[in-house]
Amino acid sequence: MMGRLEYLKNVVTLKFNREKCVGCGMCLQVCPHAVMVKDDGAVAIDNRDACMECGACAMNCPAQAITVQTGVGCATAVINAALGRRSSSCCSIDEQETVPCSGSDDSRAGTGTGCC
Amino acid sequence: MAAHQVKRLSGFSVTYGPIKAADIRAFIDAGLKATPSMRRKTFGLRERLVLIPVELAEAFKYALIIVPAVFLLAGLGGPGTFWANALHFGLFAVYALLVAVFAGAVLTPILLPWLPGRAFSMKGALVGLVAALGLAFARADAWGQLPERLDILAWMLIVPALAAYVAMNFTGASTYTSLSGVKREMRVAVPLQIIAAVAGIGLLVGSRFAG
Repeated sequence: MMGRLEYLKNVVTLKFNREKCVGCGMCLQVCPHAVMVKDDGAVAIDNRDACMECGACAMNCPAQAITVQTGVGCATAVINAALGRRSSSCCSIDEQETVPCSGSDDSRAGTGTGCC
Repeated sequence: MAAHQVKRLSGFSVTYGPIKAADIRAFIDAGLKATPSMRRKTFGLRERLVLIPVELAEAFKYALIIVPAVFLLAGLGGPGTFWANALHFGLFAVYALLVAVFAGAVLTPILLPWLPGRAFSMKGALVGLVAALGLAFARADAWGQLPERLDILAWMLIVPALAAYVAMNFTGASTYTSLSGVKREMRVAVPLQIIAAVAGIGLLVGSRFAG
């Protein structure tokens, strides 16, 4: 494939707290777009614009060092939500949720959008 | 799922494998080690091609109603008889609508990486504009008559707007768009699409009374 396909610049809600990070590298394992990097044990955001806000990194961070508002980037879902069509349709936005996942509570990955 | 939660709740360890099932054998052979490319979600030509029928099926649900309606509405008013208008302006309208859908649902996904801009609606609008220019050139001989001119101008607005809208909906099928990005794109693109479409429909209506 050609160069990396990237979406809009400076828009994603991904936030990384270096202080909380324990350097386990789980975020690197689960990210489908190699947004994070690990150099000399330190994790950092390398390519924020490549983030698709799936929330896998936040969900798998045992230190809650990552937050992101999750959802599927789907225009049809946004339109359906604006028109008041909820879970009855294929692409929908059920709720918005910021995901610093995990910890000891029962927080979960955002079910921001469902999309076919 | 959260690997550490699974571990905490059940005692089982989670090993994240490759994204594609086709890579599982290599992943296992490598001792449950995934290469960086195994963990990257691509959106290559083949992956985009298989999604095109889904986009077309969605578009044609609406086209089944809109296309006959536009064909018949084109018969009203205008310079000739009802059927003469329908066959001339109406057929062109049907052709223009199908070209717009083709531009947004087929050409834009295929050409996605090479089209300028990052917003899908921008990419779709550009393909739609080129398609509209092609349609206009196909009717260049009729440019001298006012109803024809207004009709052509109308479709030069509607085709890019519709192509942009259809292309924008391909964000849901793509593997790299974020919800925040889609919302930002839509805040700009949807009003522009509506303005272009309304202006185009206004010109179409005007063309019915011109000449």
